Amino acid sequence: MLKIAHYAYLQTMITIFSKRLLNYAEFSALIQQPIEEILPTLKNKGLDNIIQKLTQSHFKLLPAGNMDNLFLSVLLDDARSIIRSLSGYERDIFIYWIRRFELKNIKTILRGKSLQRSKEEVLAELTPLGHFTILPVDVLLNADNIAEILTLLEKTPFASIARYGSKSFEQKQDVFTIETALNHQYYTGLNKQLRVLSDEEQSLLQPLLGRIIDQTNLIWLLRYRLCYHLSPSHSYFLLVSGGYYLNSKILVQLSQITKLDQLYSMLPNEIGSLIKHCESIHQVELSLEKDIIQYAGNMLKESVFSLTHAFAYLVFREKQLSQLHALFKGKLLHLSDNEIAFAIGDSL
Amino acid sequence: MSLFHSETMRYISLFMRFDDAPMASIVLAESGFFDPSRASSEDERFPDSQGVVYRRIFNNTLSEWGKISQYLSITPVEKINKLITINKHRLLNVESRLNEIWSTCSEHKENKRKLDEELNSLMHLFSLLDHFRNLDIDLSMLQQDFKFLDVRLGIIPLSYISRLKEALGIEGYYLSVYVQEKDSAHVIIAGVKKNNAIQALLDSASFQSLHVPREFHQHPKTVYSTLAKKKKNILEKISIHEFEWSMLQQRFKQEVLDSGDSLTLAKPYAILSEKMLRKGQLIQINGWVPLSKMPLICDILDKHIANPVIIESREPEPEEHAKTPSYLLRPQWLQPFLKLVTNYGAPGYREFDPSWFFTLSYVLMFGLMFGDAGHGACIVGGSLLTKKKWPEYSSFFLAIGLSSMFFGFIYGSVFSYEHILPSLWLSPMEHPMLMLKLALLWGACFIVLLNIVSIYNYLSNSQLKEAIFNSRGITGLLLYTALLWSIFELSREQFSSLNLLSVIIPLMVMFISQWIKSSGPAAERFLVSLFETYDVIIAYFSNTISFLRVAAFALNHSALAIALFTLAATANEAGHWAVIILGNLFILLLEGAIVAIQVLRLEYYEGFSRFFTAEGYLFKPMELSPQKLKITESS
Repeated sequence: MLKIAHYAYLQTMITIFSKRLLNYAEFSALIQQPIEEILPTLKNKGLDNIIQKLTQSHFKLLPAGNMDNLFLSVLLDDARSIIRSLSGYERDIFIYWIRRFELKNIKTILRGKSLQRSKEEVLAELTPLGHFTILPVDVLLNADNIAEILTLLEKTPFASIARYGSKSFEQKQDVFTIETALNHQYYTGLNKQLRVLSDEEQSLLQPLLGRIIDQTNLIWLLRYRLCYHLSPSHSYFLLVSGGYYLNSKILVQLSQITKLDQLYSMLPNEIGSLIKHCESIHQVELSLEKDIIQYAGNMLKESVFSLTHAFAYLVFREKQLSQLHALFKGKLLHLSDNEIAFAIGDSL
Repeated sequence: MSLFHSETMRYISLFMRFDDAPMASIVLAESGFFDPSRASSEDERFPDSQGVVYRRIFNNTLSEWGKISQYLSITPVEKINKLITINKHRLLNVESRLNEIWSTCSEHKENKRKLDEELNSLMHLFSLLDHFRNLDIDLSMLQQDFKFLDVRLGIIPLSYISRLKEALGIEGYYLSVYVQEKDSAHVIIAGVKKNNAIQALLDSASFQSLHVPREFHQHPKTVYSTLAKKKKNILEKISIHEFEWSMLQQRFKQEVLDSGDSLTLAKPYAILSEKMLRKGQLIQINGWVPLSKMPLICDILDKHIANPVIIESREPEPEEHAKTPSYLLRPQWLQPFLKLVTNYGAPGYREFDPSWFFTLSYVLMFGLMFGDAGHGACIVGGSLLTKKKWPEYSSFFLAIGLSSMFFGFIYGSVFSYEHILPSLWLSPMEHPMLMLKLALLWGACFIVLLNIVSIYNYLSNSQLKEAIFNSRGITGLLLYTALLWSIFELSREQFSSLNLLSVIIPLMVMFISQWIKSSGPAAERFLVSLFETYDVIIAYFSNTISFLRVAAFALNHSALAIALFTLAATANEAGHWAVIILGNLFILLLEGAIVAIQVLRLEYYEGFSRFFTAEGYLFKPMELSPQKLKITESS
């Protein structure tokens, strides 16, 4: 009773917000429609700003940064509404989840500095996070070198993450090493954040978050082994814990692969069946993403409300916005429906 | 003793035989009233090669003596008992002996440095050994380069341990933690040697390699006991060294003290030799002496110099006043206030000495701004308790403490309590407007008084025009008093044409005076004169307003007390008293310091800047004190 009362406002909000999500059939139907017809069907889906901008531009492709930012701002608006209704550690977990975008900005700044790009160039590539901004972007952009950026980050909520980055940078003056250290620390921090939840909440959240971590680990592993040709031990070390199907024993085995087709036989059936037809890392990524969306959609249909519903909504919304982004881009570039479906990971 | 001036000084010239110069230097220094001066007439001066050599030997010897007395912690005696001259040969002997002593001391010092270095490196090894203390193997094994085995020691962040262990397992390596700290762990990694396959992995894991020092070639426990033995050995050597040091101190103490005496006696001549004039066997020594001490100087020269000495003395010429030292003979208790005055600058020879005025006004204003019987009593108590340790500041704190107590009774304030003591006159918080008016009145009196002093200074220096027309002269004073009078009449709504006239006349005089002083085209002169005159009015206005801070701080003290009691009321009984005590301590230290600085600011910027040129220099007589030995600077 108390729990119902505790989440009453959040539950109402998620129920209303869920109406903004498209089911599989609705989304597939969109692929075959011209953009002029798609836009009216997306009314009342919280995308008014994007529709207005596209209409004003007479269905011309907006600059890449603008388009990305428009979709992200939709997600951030939803996240802000959800976070506002939470307090304490629950609020902290959601804020930490949104901080992934700040982590992306940190990586952009670090890369920009290592490539000696101008401040303006780097600034144009940063993701504006509005109310969620905590990075002193100007100060970081004015730093002389990577070491100084990491020192400055130690004065932000990214202090512990940056400290590990600094250590890695001291060892090997390489941005890739810092980025992997930052990723590693981010997910270690996320696992730490989740530990404060009750066992029941953790068990509800774990399948969804675990699937996201599985996807992240598998894609990283494939890139490290097949693209960067890192050693099995090195590739394994750079992965993070907390996966749902892919535990450390399976990841150790997976780290030995040298070709993509070796992968399928080593994976548990639950994942193996999802990606058995995939011929590239990108396809693996899209297939797993589709599974995550599907799982998040199922969670939203669960009758007993929990914090996980809010998390599932955010995950679903983020992934679907990303698919819509790809769809719009494809339509505006006049790609064929098949090409668009392929890019989104759907098959017509 | 002149209360508001330097003592009257005499410029004296002493003519004597060259042989008598060393003894004359000593007795003049011993008198403590002779400030040597270079003669003004350069053409009569001959090069004094004897003096140059003497001063060089003196400085070298003093440098050696300084090093020895510092190393052996020998404090010189306070006073010289026997006045004897130190000639060049004797000074050379002292220098040679001090060189020998320093040679022994420096060797000893070097030994100590080596021992300290040994001890430091040993302690460093101890801290390194800490990294390996939990390993149960012969550390020499970790120094070997095995043919098939790859063994590494290092530190990694704690959060990486389990994943690194698993990752290394893929490569057939084994990881073991032997020391765990807050954020990191010391690990040993071993495996079959392959082409440095794990290096990239270790780099990603922020692995910091640890190298086993050469000294560690046994089991950690054995290494520890070996190091402990070495440490004991070094500590024994250090204690022997300390004993040797005390022996050295005993052995050389008397010689060092005697050398210090010799140097003290040599110093006056080393100083004077640079300033004296010589012509054949005749020398001339010039300097400043207070008029009251002239008989003393004549007397001691007569007593100690066998040959005749001609003493010529005269008053300083008006044009010499700028070069004449100011001798401010003030009682001991006034010295801390005098230090604050001279910190701004020394008064010129004929200039008004503001020490007394500064003391009285500083003490008065401090009490007005920080009136609290309890806090004042604490300052008085503190000054009495620390009198032995800091005697030179005792009277300062005593005076401001008493003033604070006095005004505490006037305001009825004790330890921030405003209602325990009945106020003898008024409580600032209850009469804020009156306090502000009083502060302005005090400021006006302060400025008027200092303007009068300024006029006096102009007249003393025969600057009649400045005394009449300057903004700090009679015209300025008339303008300021007229302005005050007019504002007063305006507040009573009785402003008359007489008031207007009283302001306009001095303003016109000042404007014309500025016009005469300025140069350039008429329009430029008009503008300069206009703005200069306008600036005078603004300066007088802002100076007077500045004194509002006297009342502001008195009110601030009461306001802080209210804040303190409001805070205390929110706490329980124990907390209440803790807040009261800590709050009072806070007020005493922080507000007390701020008030002290604010009063000083008022004195310096609203007071001294109005009349005090502070371009003089203080009378610095030669002294015969072994404790004040320092190298004489050659010009």
